[in-house]
Amino acid sequence: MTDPTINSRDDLIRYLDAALALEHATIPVYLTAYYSIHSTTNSDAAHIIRVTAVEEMLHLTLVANVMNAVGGSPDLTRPGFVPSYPAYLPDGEDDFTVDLRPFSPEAVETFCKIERPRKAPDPQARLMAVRPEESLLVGSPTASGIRFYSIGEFYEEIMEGLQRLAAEDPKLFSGDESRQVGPEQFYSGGGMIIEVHDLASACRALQLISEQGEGLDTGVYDAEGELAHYYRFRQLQFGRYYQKGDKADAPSGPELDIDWDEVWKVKVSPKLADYPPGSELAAAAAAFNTDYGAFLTLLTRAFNGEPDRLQDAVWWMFRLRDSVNRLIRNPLPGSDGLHAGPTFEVTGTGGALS
Amino acid sequence: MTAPSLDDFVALSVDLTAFGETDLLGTGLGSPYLAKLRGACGDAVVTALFAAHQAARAESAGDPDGFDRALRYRIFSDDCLGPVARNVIKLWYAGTWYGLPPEWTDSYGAQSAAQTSTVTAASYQEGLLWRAIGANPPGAKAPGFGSWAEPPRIDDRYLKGARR
Amino acid sequence: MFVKFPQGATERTDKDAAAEVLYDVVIVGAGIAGSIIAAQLSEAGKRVLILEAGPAEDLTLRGYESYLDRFYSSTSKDNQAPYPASLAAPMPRGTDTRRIAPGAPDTSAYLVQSGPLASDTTYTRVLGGTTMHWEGKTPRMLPDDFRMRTLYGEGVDWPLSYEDLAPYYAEAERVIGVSADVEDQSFLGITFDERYVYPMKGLPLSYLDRMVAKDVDGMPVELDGEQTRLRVRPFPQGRNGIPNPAYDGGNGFVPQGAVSTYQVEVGERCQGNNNCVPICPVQAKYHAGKTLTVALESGRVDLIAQAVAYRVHVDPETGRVQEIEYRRYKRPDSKAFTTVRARGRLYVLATNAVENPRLMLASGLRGSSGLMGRNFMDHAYLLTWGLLPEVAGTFRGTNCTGGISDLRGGRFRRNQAAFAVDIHNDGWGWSRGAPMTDLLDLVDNGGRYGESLRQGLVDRVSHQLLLAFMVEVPASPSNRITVDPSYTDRLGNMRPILTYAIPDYTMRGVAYARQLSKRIFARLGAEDHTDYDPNFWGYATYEGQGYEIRGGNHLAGTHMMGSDPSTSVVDADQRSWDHQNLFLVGGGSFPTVGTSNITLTIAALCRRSARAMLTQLDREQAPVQLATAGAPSHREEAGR
Repeated sequence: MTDPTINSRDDLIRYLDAALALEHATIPVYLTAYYSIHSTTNSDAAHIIRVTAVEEMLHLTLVANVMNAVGGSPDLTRPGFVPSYPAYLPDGEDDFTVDLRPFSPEAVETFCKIERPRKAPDPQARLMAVRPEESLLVGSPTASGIRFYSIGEFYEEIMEGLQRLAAEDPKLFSGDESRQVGPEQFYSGGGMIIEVHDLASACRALQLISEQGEGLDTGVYDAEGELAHYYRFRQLQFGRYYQKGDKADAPSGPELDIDWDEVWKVKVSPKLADYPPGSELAAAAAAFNTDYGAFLTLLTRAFNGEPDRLQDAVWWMFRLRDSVNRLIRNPLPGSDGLHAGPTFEVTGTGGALS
Repeated sequence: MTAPSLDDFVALSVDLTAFGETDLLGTGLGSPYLAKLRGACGDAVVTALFAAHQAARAESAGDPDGFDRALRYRIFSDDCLGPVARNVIKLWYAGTWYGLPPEWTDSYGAQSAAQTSTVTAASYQEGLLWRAIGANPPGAKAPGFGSWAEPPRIDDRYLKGARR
Repeated sequence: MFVKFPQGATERTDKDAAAEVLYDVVIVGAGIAGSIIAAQLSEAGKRVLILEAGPAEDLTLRGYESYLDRFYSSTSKDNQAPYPASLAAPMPRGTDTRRIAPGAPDTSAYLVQSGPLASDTTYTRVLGGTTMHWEGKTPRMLPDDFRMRTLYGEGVDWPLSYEDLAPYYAEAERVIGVSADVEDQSFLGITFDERYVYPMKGLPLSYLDRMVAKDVDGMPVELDGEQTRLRVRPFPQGRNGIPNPAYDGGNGFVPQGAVSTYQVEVGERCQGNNNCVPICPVQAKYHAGKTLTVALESGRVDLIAQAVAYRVHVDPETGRVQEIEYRRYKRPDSKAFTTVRARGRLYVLATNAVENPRLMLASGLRGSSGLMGRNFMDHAYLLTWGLLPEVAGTFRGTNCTGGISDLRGGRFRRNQAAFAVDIHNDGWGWSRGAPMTDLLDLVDNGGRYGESLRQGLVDRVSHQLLLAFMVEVPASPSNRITVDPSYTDRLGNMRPILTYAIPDYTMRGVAYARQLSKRIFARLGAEDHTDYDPNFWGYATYEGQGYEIRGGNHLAGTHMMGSDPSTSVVDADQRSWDHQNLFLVGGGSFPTVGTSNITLTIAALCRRSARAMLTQLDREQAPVQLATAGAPSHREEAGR
C-alpha cells in the first residue's frame, strides 16, 4: 500500500478544493453539448445531459458542504479553477482529452469516459506517476507528480483520509453550520442535498457523488434506485433506456430517439483568439466569460456563508443559458461553417456583480 | 437576379429592430425568416426592399435623422414595401408572420403572404419583444424562482420613458 | 422527485375483459376529482376503473413536450392551445365564444349557448383534465361562504361548515403541494390548526405586486358601514416553491416534479415561466396527472381512455346504478366506436359541473328534486386595466402572485357580491391581448421601428397593470345545463347547452368593483385605460353602465349538495339522493362558489367523499346482482 497522501486538515482541504475544481470542470463540457442541441429537438438526449449537469452542480455543492464542515473556504474564483480545454482526465492506465464539443457521438463517448467507473486493479495502482507534459485534473494536490488511477480512486482517497483524520481529531467537523447549503437553497437534482455536520454525513455526501457520478461501480442503479451518470449516457449509445433489473449491456426500456443532425455544429474547444478581433461576436464571447466569472463569484459567496445567494446563482445560470444559445447560433467567421461557442476562458477572480 | 442574401437581410433587420447582428443571428432564425419572407412575398419584392434600405443608407451618409427620413420616404410610406418592412419587424419581435392585407396581395400577388403563421416552434420563443421588455416569452426561457420580485432588467435608457 | 408513470398504463386494460369485471368503483373522468378518489380508494386496497374521454396516451415527458410544441407553434395562445382537439370528445374553447343574439342560440361550437350572456368558460379533456391548464390558485373558502343564506339571506347554505372541511383542506394542500404562508392566509375567519404550515413556503410577490402594494396597502374602504383597509396579499399556489422544513411536524415536504416514464428531474421549483395557463413547461405547477400516476402505480387501478360515457343505466326498482355504457373510439378523428359497459359496486361521475349533469340528463335522470343541471355557477370576471407611472416590469413571474382579498367577505354581502382581486403579472394580456396587440399597434399604426419601437414597448407594456375582479355568482335555478337530442357530437353524445345570465346581486358587485378600481388607479397615479366594448360577447349592462364579463372556468352548482333531498341533488358526501351507489363529485356539488377558485375545495370534498365511499363499500357487503353470468373468478368477493 502506498503511503496516504492526506495527513492533515490542510491536506484534506486541498483535496476537497481539487474535488471542487474537478466537479466543476465537467459542467462546461455538458453545457456546451446541451445547448448545441436545436431547440425542441432531441428531447431524450437533452434531458439526460441537462440532468447530469444539474447533478454536477449538486456534487459541487456537496463538496462545498464537506469543505465548510471541516473549516475550509470554497473558492471558485481562484486562478486555474476553470481548466483550459481541452483538459485531461484519468481513465485507468491512460488519460484522455476532454473537449468542449457539440452534441455528437464523440461528445457522448467523452461523457462515458468521464463517468465510467474504474477501480484500480490493486491498492498499489491507485496512485500513478504523471507524465510531465500533462495538465491533469486529478493529480494529487499534496504529492507532486502523482495522479489518481481514476476519479473513483481519487474520492476513495478522500474518504479514507477523512475517516482517518476524524478518528484522530474529534474537532475535525468544527465548521460553521450556517455555511451549509440545504434543501431550501438547492433543488432539482436526483438525490437530495446533504448538509454535513459530522463524519457520517460527510461520507454520505461523498458517497452520493461517487454513486451518481464518477465513482466505483455500484451497478446500473444506485442504492436510491437512480441510474448512475455513466449508465445514463450509455443509454444514448444504446438508443434505449434502462429499466430495473437490466444488465449493463442490455437496456430493455423504451427506445430513445436521437437526431445527430439537429445540432449546431460548434467549433470544438473554441478560444477567444478564434473570434474576429474587435467584432460584435468577439465582444459577446468575452462578455460571456465575464458573466461566467461573475457566476462563479456568486457561487463562492453562496458557499461562504450566504447560502441564499444560490437562488441568485440560478438566475445567473439561466441568463448564461440565453447567452450561450445566442453565441452558438452565430456562425464563427473563418471556421468553415462551424459555429461560435462559449470559450470558458475565465481568468482569476471573476467579473463584477450587479 | 441574384437571390436576396442573408447579409442584406440582417443589415436591414438591424436597422428595423435596433438589435445587433449577433442578437439577430443568435436567434438561429435568420435564414428561416429570410426564407419565409421570400416565400411569402417573392424575390422581386424582397430585392427591392433590400435595395431601398441600401439606398436610404447611402443617401443619409451616417446622419441618423436623414436616415430615418429616408426610410420613411423610401420604405414605410411605400404601398408595396411598407407593409413588408413592418412584417419583417413583427416577424423578429413576435416570431409570427402576420398575413398581409388583401389590398397588398391583390396588387403584388404572392397569396401565401396573406397567411398568418408561426415559422417554427422556436420562433415564438425567440421573439425580440420579450427581450425588449426584460421578460421571457411565456412558457420558455425561464428566469428562475423568485427573480420576478426583482426590478426588470431593462436597459436604463428606456426607463425614463417618453410616455408623459 | 420525478413522478414515475407506469409505462403502458393507458393501454394495458382490455376494455372487453374490463367489462366482465365488477370493480369496487367505476370513475368517469381522470381529472383532479377522479384521480384523488382513485388514489385514495386504491391505497385502501379497492379495485378501480377509470374511464377517460381524452386520448389514450401515457403521461410521458415527450407527450408533455408535444403539448408544449403545439403551444409554441399555435398562433392562438388560449387555454386549450397546447391540447389535442378531438372530434370524438370535443372541448369548449374560449376562442369559439360569440355574442348571442336574443332567441338564437349559438350552436357553432361543442358547448351550445342559449345565453342571454355568452361565456368563454372551458374545460380540458385529456388525462389530468382541466388542471393541465389551470392557473393553480388554491385559496380556501371563507367560513362565511358556507352559510350565505343564514348570514346574508343570499345563496344557499352548505350542509358542511368550514370546520368540517378544514382537515380535508389540509389533505388537499398536501396532495396538490401548495406554497403559501399561514400568516398571509389567516384572514376573514380562515383558521388553521395551531402548528399547521403549508407544504411549501409562499411564493414571493412580483415586483409589480410590490409596486402596487406601496400605494394600496392601507387604503381605506368603507362598505355597508364597515371600514376595512386593503393590502396586497400573496395567493396560495399549487406550484412548487421552497419546501417548508416545519411541515408535517418537522418531517418537511418533498416537492413532486414532472411526470415521466423514466428518470428525469425537472419542475421541483417554479422557474417563473409566466405561463401557468395554459401550460407550465416544467410541470412545477400541479396537475392531476401527478395524482393519477400515484393511483395507477398501485396496480389496482385500470384506466380506459378514449372512452366517452354515454349513458348511466339505473335499476328502476332500487334506483341503483347498474352500469355505465360508454363509447370507445379508436382514433380522435374516427367516427366509429364500440359500445362497452363498465360495472362497479359504486359509481363516481367526476367530469365537471357541465359534463356531469350533461351525462345524467342524457341518461334521462333529471333527479327527483328537478335540480340536475340547474344552479350553474362560475365566477364573473371584471377586468380593469391601466398604466402605472413607473416601469413595473410587467410580464414576469407566475401568472398571478398577489392580489387583494379584503373584500372577499363582510356585511356588504347582504346587498352585493364579494370579490377577490388578482394583480395579473401578464398585464393586459387577458383583456386586450397584450403584448402582441401593443406590438402590432406600435408598428402598424404608430410608425415605430428600431429604437423608437423598443422605447414604445417599454412605455406601453412594462407599465401595464391589470386588476381582475373575481366576483361571486350565487346559485340561480335558471342558470343551467340542459341537453337536447337535436344537438349531438360526433359520437352521438348529446352536447351540453348552457343558459346563463348574471344575477343583479353579482352585477352590484361588478359595478362596485369598477368604482373601486378607479379609486385604486387614482391612488397609484395610474392612467385608467379600461374601456368596455359593447360588441364584446360578454357585454352586460347594469344601471346604465356596460361591462365586459368573462368566465372563470370555475364550473359549479349543477348537482348541488344539501341536507334535504327535495332541494339538492347530492348529500354532504356528494352521494346522489336518488341513486345510492352513485356519487357526483366536483364543483357541481357546491351550493356557493364564494370568492375562491374552486379546485382546492373540489380536492378537499373528494378526499372527504372517498372516505364515505370506503365506509359504504365496507357496509354494503350484501351480494350484488350481476346483470349477466360469468363474473370472473378472481372477483370472488363479488359473489359473497
